[in-house]
Amino acid sequence: MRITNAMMINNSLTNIATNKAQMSILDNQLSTLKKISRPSEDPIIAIRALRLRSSLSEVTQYLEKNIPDANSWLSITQGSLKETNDIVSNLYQYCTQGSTDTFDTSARATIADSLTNLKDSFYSQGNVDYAGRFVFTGFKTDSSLTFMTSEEASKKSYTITQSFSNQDITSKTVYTNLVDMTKLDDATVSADEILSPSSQTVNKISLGYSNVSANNLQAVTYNNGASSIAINVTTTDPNYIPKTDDEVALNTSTGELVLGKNAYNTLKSATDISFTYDKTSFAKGDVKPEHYFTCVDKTDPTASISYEKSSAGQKIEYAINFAQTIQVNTEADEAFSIKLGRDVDELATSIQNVIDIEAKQAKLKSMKSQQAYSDDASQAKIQSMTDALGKEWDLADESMQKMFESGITKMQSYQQQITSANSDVGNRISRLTLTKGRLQEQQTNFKDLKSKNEDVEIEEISVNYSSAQLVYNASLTAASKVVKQSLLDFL
Amino acid sequence: MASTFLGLTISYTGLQAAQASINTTAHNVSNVGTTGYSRQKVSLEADKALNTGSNYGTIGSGVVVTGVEQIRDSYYDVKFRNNETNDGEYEVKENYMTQLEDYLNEFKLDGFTVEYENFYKSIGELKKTPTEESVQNSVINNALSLTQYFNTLSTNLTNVQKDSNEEIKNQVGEINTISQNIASLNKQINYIEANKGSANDLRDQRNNLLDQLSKIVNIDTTETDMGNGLKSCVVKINGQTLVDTYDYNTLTTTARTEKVNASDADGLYNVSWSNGLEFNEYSTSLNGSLKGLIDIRDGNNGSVETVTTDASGNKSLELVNDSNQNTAYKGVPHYISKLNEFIDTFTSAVNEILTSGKTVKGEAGIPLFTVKYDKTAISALSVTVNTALIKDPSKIATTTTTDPSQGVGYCDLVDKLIALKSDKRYEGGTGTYFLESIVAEAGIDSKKATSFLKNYTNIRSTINNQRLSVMGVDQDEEGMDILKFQQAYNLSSKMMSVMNEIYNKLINETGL
Repeated sequence: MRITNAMMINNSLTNIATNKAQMSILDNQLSTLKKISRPSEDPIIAIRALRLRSSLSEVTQYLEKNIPDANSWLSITQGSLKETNDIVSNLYQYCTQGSTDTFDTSARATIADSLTNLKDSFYSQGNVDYAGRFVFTGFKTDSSLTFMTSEEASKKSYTITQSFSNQDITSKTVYTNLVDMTKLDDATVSADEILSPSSQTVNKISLGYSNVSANNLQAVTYNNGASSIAINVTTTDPNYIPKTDDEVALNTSTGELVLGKNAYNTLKSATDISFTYDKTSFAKGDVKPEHYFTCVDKTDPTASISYEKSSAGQKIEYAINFAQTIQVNTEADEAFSIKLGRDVDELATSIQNVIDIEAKQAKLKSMKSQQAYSDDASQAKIQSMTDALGKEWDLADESMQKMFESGITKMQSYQQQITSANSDVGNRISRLTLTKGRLQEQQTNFKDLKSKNEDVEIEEISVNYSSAQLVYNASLTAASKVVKQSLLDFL
Repeated sequence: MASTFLGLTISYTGLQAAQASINTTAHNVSNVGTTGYSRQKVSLEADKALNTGSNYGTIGSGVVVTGVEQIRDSYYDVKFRNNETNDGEYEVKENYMTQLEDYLNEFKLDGFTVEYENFYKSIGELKKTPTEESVQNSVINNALSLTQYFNTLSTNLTNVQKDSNEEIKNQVGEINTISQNIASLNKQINYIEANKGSANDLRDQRNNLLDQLSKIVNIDTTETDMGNGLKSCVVKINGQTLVDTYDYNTLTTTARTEKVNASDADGLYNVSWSNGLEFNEYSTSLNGSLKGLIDIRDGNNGSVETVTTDASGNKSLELVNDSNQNTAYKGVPHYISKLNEFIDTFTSAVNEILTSGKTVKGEAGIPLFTVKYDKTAISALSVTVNTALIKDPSKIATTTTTDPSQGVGYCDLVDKLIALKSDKRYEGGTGTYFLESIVAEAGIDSKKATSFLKNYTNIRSTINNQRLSVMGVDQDEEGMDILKFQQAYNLSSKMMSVMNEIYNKLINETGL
């Protein structure tokens, strides 16, 4: 083949250009430390890089955003439940103490106060929030568990539909012939007519709230609404005894349904008992009905809001891994039983009863030595009233003791409820920690894969670069030799 | 018996031949760097022998220059031009595919894959705090950023289309110029060659023009003898006659009044013959840089993007198979329609979910994505975020229920939005996969163009070297020729002076 100078120059230039292109690729790799700088250089690497980046970004989102958020929420819940547990354990101690020891008058007053305070702090634990969102109120994160101000509470008006099971039917002791101090000054009542008090057991269902409204009285329904018993009697007397066996009376002040014998027997074997009642004038610290019951907020009569309490609950779930979610919230009724408040109130009332009787006794004692009551009739009357009060004190004290005794088991069951809620949260935290560990592992894996896929090894590339440089230099030297000389140099 | 002075005449022809040869060598050396120059060679022949009538028969009468010829092999010309046509096509494709790939280089850019990811990150946050104004705001802003990215991307791709369109016009202009020049050269060549001889340098010029033309479009050249030394040279581009000896045709470009693809740039050019004949831009046999440009500008994978209007007057884009109006290549319209398809699927799914729901305040949900101008189909260019939501992000629907008992934290609608991310509604894949496949497609096609170009360029330099091997001027060879012809000239001169001495002897000294 005939070789011309132009051919040699062309070849040299082509070779130099090829080497230069190789240098340029290596130079790019060396300065970016990436295998490629555009998808066309290796579409497979490029697409794999995109996939890995997207997976990595998702893992990072779980690891750095969702898991810490879930963890904060759960930790706050856990902290609050621990506090709550301490409070109930305090209540429990008062109950054990109350059931065994006898307290003097002044101690009783303090206990009654403490109990009420503990109850308030129990529910206020339900108001803890995480970044401005209440953690115990399900999806209603903008609503606190209890009424925070008296002003707000007093304005509210609700119609509450409360469901009960036959387990919710309890009994209480009522008293007849309680000593009436006014009879002392009533001349028509003789000493013989002061009757000795006696007690009786009455069956009742405690509603969620005391001081309910007597308006819009509705029937108690049972067996899933199939049957009902109408309520015709309302009372405010804590010692009210149903007049007939079929009667169901609503005690508006204590918030109880007092059951006649037949009514009791009917409901005892019934299921799905439900009662709808109105409740106004809430107090600060009362729990909001919407967190526990199906109810209608009628505060604004033109725009009433109905709340449905669903059995499915309101689970707030965070995504913490590919196709894995965790429930972060604990609902109020899982830990903060509305019955605890009623029970503590009853305890406080029973203590107050004893305190009241002791006050009456002291009053009689002082009256006895007064000049105005020095006549025989009065003295006899005082004596029989003192006897009657003594009996009444015995009854009240016994009832108080019993109340404390039953309080022990009740508090235990509340504590159990809180413990189980707390251990549920604990389990979720440990699940979260496990997932976090796994995700960290995954993150490392993805980072590794990503790096293997798209990053160059600096040692390898340096060596390649040096050798490419050598080849490039050689091609330049060769070219310079080819171009430099021709036949003319020798002629 | 030959003439006494024959020797002088013979020497004279030697001088003439050496003179012609050395001039041709000078011509060769001067054109050593001229593109398309084929080296020339003086062809010499021993002159007719004279019958001396003596017993030794004939005697040579010197040398005669029969012509100056160019050394060229038309076989390599055909090979070179065929390759040049392919080279031209892929040079254009490589150039434009690199541009397209630059815009779709998700490997380096924080482009649509990142925008899409960010949108879903903010949706994930919305799930945790559906009522938080700042989170709602971030959802809206991420959506806005996503749509703006697609708007810009679509505009950039359309600009590439516009560029290729302008280049088509330039190429057509070049074809016309070349066609005119070749016709004119044909005339000049025939003029010269009719009077004997070979129009070497004009032929080089014509071959050069044909080389240039072959880069733009596939050509066929035939040269037939018409007698009297005249030649008829016919040049055809893609089977249609461009130049017929002294006559030539031109192509013309006219702006389209109606778009072929709905997202095409305005006023793309149609190419046709000036004499009214049809020029099939989408012919499968067409080749060269013109074909490359048409593929880039119009290639929509064998389909055409059309606007369809449904019964309620809503417009949408649809791909319809139509190979008469485009090529099977994946050019700019293909990528734009891919982006449009993504935007259409994505936005309609998001809007459908949002409008089926309610806001926290219980108002009916409104669509997140809308079009910029009324009565246009939703596309990567026209998509934008509902201004009502930009003004008030809390208008974003998060729930399916107006039941306040569920509370403000209830956001089942957001769950549906999250589920959408893993829904395989984009041609059987998820949104992320679909976007990635666009990048992959561009990457693979760009790689293909690059490696094809590399191959054709390699072949080009090989064939070019083969051509140069035949027609190229070699400096060493010419250097040798200079010496050779100089010596031949010197020798003939010497011969003359020897003859002169002989005649001097004969005429002035003999027999005196």
